Amino acid sequence: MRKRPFVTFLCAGSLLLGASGCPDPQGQFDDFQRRFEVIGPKQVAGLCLSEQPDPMVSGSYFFSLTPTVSPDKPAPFIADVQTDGSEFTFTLTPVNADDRSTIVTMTAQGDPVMPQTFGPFLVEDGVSTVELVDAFVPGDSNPLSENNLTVQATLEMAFCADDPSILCGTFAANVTAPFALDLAGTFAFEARENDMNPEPPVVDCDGRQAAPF
Amino acid sequence: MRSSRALALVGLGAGILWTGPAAASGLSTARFGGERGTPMDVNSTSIFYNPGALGSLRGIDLFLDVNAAWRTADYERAAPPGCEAGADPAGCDVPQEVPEPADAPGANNGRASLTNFAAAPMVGAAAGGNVSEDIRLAGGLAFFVPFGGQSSWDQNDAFANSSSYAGPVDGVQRWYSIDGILRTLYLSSAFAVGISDYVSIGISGGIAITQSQTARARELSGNNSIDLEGRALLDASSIDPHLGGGVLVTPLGNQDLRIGVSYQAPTGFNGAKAKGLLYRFDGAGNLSGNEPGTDDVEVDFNWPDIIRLGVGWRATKNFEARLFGDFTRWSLFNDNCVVVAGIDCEINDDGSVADTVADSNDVVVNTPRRWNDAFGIRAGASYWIIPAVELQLGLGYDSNAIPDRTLGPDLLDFHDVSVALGGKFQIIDELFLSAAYTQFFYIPRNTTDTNASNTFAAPSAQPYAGGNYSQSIGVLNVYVQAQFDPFSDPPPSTPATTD
Repeated sequence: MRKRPFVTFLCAGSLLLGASGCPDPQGQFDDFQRRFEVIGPKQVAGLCLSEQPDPMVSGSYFFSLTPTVSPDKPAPFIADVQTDGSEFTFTLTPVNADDRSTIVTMTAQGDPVMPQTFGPFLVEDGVSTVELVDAFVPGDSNPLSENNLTVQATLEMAFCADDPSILCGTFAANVTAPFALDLAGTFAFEARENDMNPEPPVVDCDGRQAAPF
Repeated sequence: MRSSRALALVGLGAGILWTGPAAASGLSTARFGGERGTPMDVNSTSIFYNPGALGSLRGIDLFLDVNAAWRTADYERAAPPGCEAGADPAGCDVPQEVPEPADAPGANNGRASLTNFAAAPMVGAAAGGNVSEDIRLAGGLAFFVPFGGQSSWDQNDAFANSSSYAGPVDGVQRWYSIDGILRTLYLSSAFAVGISDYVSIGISGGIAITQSQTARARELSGNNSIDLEGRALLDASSIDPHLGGGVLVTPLGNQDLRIGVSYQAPTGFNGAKAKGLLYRFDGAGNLSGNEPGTDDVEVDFNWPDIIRLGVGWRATKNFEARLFGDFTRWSLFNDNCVVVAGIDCEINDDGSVADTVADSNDVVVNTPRRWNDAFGIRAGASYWIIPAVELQLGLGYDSNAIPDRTLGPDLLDFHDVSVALGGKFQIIDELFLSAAYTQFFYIPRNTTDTNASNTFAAPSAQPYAGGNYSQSIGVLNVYVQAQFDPFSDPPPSTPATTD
C-alpha cells in the first residue's frame, strides 16, 4: 500500500488550524480522468473496440439483451441488420427466452407481435449509441417475468476487435409499461450459422455466454 | 436528456461514502467536553447534551474544545468462489461481481487501508443566574460537529503505474469510497429555566449544516468491472433546523447528585435533503465518449434522534462517579437516495424505486443503509488529588448500528469498548484546562457470508462488500473553560460544585 505522506502531513498540520482532515474527493475525481485519458486506448481495446474496427456487415444476428438482474438468461431476439458502413438500421424479432429457438408471434393475451425496426444510427470510429424507443418485449421473451414490457433503452455499442462477428456493449433501460422499472446490463449481436440454434449465446463484450438450458 | 438521465440512473451516481472517526455508534462524533460532556454536567456542552442542565448554571461559562483523532481502518476482500481473477465470467454467479481480468489480480480483491487524522472544534458560551429566589434563567450559544467525519484511503501500489487500468490504483475499497467528507455542523442556541434547587428544564435549537463531498468508483450497471470503471463525485450541502430539550434533576438540592435526561430530534426533523452537483465520468462504460457529466441533484440524509440519560454522584469531597448513555435511532438512516433536484425519493425494500415516484428515471442512484438503532453507555469517575486537579477515568461501550448486509467500506461501525484517561486542571480561579485521551477498541467484523449489498435492485445495485473489517481510533480531547460569575458575590463556584 502506498501511503500519502504529503497528504498525511497536511492532515496533521491541519490539526493546528482546527481543520477536520483533508481528504480530496475532487482531486481524486480529476486524477482518474487524467489517468483514463492516458490509458484510454488500451481500455477501449479491452471493450471490443479497435482503432480501426472492422466494418459492420449487414445480415442476421442473434441479439441478446441481458439485464444484470438476470445475468444468465437474456431476452433473445433475431436482429436483421442493414448497414452502409456509416449508418445502420436493424429489425428486432422476439424469440422465446425459454428455448431461444421459437419466434414469438403472439402474446399470451392473443395480440400479434410484429418485428420492430430501429434506426438509422450513426457509427463513428466503430461505436454507436442506439436509442430503442418504445421497444416491445413480449412476455415470452422476457427473462424476468411473463409480463409484456414496453422499454426505453440506450445501448452503447461497439465492435469486438477480437471477434468481428460480435457487436456488444452495455445498456441502460427503463421499463415504462406495465410498470416503471429500471434495468441495466449488457447486450451482444452474435453472427451465427443458425440463428435459431438454442446454444447459449454470447451476452457481453467479455465473451461470457448465457447459461445452457 | 433522457439518455443522460438513464445513464445516470443505472449507476454513475454517488452513494454516501464517508468513513470518519465515529467515536460512538453509527456516525456520532460528539465527544466534545470529554468526560464532562454528559447529559448531567453543567457547562456549555449542555447546549447539545442536555439544554436542561443549563438551568443550573450560575455565572458565565466559556468553552473552547478540540477533538483530535487518529484512525486506522482495514478492509480485506476476497473474490467470491467462481469469481477469481481470470475466471470465466459465466462461472461467476454473484450479482454485480465481475472477475478481475487475468492481468489484473488484486484490482478488486485484497487489502485496503487508511490512516487518517482529523480534528473537530467546539466553541460555546453560556450564562445563567437567578432572577428570583427560586427561578434561574440561562442561555447559551455553541458551534460543534455532532455527526460525520472524513476518510482518505491509501492507494494500491500494484497499480500505481498501470498502463492498462486507470481505476484500481485507488484501492479495492474504491467502489464504495476513495475520499469522502460527510458531516453535520450545528450552530445551536439554548434557553433554560431552573426551578428551585431541584429541577431545571431547557430547550435548544438552531441550524444544522450538512456537507457531503465524496468520490467513488462506479460502473454503469453497478458492478465492479474494471474494464468499464468510471468515477462519481457528489458535492452537496443543506441547511436544516434542529431542536432538542432536556431536564436536569438535583434531588439533594445541590450538584452532588445530578440526573439528566434529554432528547435531540432528527436534524431537519424529517431528514436533511442536501442540494448539489453530481459529477460523472463514465469511464469506459460509456463507449460513445468519456466526457464528464454533471447533474443537479438532491441527496437524502435521514439523521437519527437521540435520547440521553445520565447520573452523576459526588460521593465525597474528592470523588465523583458518573454513569450515562444514549439511545440513537439509526434506523432512520435508511436510504441515501440521490435524485434529480426537486424530486422526492422513495425506495422499496428490494432497492427498486417505489411506484409513488412518478418517473423512476429521476432517482439517480440509491445506497441502501437499513441501519439499526444503537446505544452507548459510559461509566466515569473523577478523583481530586487537590481541589485544583481532577483526574478522570472513563469506560464505555457502543453498540453497532450497521448490519452485515449493508456494511461497506464507505461507512463503518463496530461494537466497541473505550477507555479514557485524563485530567482537568484549575489554572487560575476562573480558568480550567482539560485533556483526556480515549482509545477505542473495535471488534473486527467478517461479513464474507452475510453481506448482501450486491443483491439490491437498480438503482440500488452495487458491488459485493463482504470481507474483513477492522478499525482503531484514538481521540485526544482538549478544552479550555472559563467560569466566572459577575452577577453575584462571592464569585464562581468551585470545581466541586459545577463542572
